[in-house]
Amino acid sequence: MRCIRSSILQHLRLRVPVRPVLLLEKENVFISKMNFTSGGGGGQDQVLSKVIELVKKYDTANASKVTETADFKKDLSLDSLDRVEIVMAIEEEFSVEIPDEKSDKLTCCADIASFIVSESRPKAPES
Amino acid sequence: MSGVSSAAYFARRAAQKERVRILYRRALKDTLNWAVHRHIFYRDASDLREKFNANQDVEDVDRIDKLIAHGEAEYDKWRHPDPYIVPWAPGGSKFCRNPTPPAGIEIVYNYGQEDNP
Repeated sequence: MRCIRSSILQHLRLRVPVRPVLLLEKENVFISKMNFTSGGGGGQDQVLSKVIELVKKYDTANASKVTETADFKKDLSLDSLDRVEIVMAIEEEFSVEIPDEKSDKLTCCADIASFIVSESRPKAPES
Repeated sequence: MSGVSSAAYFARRAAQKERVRILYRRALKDTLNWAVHRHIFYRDASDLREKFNANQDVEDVDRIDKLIAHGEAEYDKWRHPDPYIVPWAPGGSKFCRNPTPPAGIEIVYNYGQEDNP
């Protein structure tokens, strides 16, 4: 009796988690926020690798084509709105403010990494 | 004459693209302000993106202007009264909380011995 009940409950329980996954199809970039904590700008290489991982998780970008200097528009065929979304995800990840005119000039991952490093440098104590 | 007008046309289109980008960015940040839970935010962000994509292929410049004005009016209507600001950014709660003291200031450790230097 109890094992029948538990098996039925298992069946019911298994159904529920499927739905949220379907909702997350589109905005895969933002999923990574749940796992990453923003670690105040570690060296440039770590920043770069995080940025590349973020761009890889974006659902309309080919994971295989993402490299350091892969141009967003030409190589990865990302729309300007996609670029805005990626910039927002990076802002959230690293807690930096990226003004609008700068975001136009960011065309590849290396640009973003160098921008983040240059942003976080004045905050470091100089003594 | 057509060269001048096409340059003006492209300049206008570029300005419009800029406006659309800025509008999309602000609208997305606002969506994040309103929809605190992440799954709600995903849904709202997808809807926003669909709205923008639906008008993607409009070619008529005046119609694009009207659509952008309409979008900006909607954004003004939906602005959050208390937006989230990163704490250490200007306007945040932690901004200038502990500024670094000016150079050259240090503590002299002679408590109780001020009278006999």
